[in-house]
Amino acid sequence: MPRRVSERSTDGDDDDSKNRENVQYTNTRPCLFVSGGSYIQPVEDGGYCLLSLPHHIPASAAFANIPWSSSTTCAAQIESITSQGVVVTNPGASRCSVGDGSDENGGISPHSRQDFFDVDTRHDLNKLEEEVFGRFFLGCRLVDIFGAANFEVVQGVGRWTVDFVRKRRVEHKRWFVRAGIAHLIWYALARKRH
Amino acid sequence: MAPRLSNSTSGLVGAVAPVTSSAILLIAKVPSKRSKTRLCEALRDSDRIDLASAMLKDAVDAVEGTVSLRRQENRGAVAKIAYYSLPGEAPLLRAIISSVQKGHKDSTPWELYPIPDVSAGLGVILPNGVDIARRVCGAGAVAVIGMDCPLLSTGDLDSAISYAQKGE
Repeated sequence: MPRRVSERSTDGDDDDSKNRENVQYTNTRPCLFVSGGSYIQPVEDGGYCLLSLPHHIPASAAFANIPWSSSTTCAAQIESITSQGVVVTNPGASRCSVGDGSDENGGISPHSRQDFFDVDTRHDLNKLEEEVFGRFFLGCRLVDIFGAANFEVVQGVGRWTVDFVRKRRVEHKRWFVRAGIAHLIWYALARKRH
Repeated sequence: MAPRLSNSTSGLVGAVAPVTSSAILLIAKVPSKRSKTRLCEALRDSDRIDLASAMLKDAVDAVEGTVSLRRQENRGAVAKIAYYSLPGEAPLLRAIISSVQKGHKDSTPWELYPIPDVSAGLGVILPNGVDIARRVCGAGAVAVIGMDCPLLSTGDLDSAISYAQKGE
């Protein structure tokens, strides 16, 4: 998610190396955190999946001139809201800032994650499967060889979606077993013929 | 503030909407063959519909959990609004919502509003949805969520509303 927020350094430190870190960091997630105001949850593709607006922001102004479905949607949305004089809280950035002491109370939900993503493409779907069941290796999910899922992740993902992924994984395994059996039969027949 | 009459076209017609201090606006695409078209190569039509339904249910579940949590902790009522595509598909959406609500005690009704013109784009759809939440439900703080992110949790939504209310 491209960002250009180097001036929004979280700790106010002018040291070059620290600023570089902040630039790197804000290139992936915007760093704006103060209490109150608006709250936004960015997703990996540059968009966002959650936005809250206080009552005094006119909706028409908040959503004006946003480049939808682009890699800068979230950044533009944050700029649009801050231009209304409202501070924007981003849980990913806040979580990161907890360690450097720049946000006293953390200011985030304990449930928040930094790696939100929409499930729109095959890549997203595979990523979701990997999150839930670990990496795919020789027909088995490494985390799931004995049928156990990655529970820490599963708890953070909606249960219906997890069920869908689980169903799909079972289908994959069935396909793999069928392909293996077909291969064995073909091999046996080929040997018999010779 | 006096109770307001919901003017929902397909949801709680004529019902008195509760006076709320905040609302959650779910932008809901009703699952259909046109759902998740970018997954055409990876999934069959039926699977895409299943995935879209699953993600919609998870979004509804997160909303229900948030409203329930805030009610239990006496942090004010939260209106639940589904602003949905595909006018005419309200029964399907209502069925999906009902199936999720079975898992939540004392669940309050949702307000369903069809998006008049889906082709208008999010720049029109989102402000209209927020205006509905404010005008019809009397909400101050409004949290807007989509249905494509199954990682969104009750905690995230709760934080979002809390932040917006602090800003009031």
